[in-house]
Amino acid sequence: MDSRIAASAPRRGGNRLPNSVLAMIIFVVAEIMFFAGLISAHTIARATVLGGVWPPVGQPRLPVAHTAFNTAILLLSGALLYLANRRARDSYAKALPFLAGAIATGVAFVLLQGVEWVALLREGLTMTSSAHGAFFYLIVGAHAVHAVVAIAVLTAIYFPMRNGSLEPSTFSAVQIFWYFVVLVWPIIYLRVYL
Amino acid sequence: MLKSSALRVLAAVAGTSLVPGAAWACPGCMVGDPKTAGTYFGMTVVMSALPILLVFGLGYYLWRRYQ
Repeated sequence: MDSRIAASAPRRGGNRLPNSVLAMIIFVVAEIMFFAGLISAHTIARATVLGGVWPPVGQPRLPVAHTAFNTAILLLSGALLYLANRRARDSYAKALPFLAGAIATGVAFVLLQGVEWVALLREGLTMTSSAHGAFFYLIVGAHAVHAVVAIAVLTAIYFPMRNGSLEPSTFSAVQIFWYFVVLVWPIIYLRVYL
Repeated sequence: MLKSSALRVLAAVAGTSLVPGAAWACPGCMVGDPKTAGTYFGMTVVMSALPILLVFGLGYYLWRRYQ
């Protein structure tokens, strides 16, 4: 083929969705169904509990106000990652402080949740104390595992971003995962804590 | 040929879903108080509709992207 024709021809697949982003979207779709299943089971258990009292008598109440503060921290983390994405369009150097802020607030969320868990365990809420405890640790624990993995991945892309070697598609895929972790939490909070 | 067979299968599935006894068969949904039945029904709707919405949402997003 003439090189001039090849150069002027539209680039095939130029607007293609990167494989990593598509894979992450499909993964997040599966994760949404996973959490929907857990929340659905919790809702059914809560509606069919004997006596209609939830949490069951003798079980500690969940710290609603403390967790509302944690929720705000996690939402702030999502907002900081969004700002990092906006700044990354200019340069990665401008995005770095926002990415660091998103990681720090994410870590703060996990640590504060850990403090909450320790207090609840001391009050007698365990996996075996009641269906309330079992569902609480299963759902909130599953979210915590996702949060820890997402923070590890955010930390893993920090250094390539600092070096300027980070692939934009990798950054996009990681963002999708973190936004999922951030946005599924208010639903969990509303269904499990309130 | 293939199209008419597919239409027949679709019509049979749609017709079966209109048989009340089969469509509402659920061993636990309609026992207990109405609030419990409402919760069962609501969760059944959510868990049935959510995967369809997600798959069609993703398909629509990809279709719009490649328009």
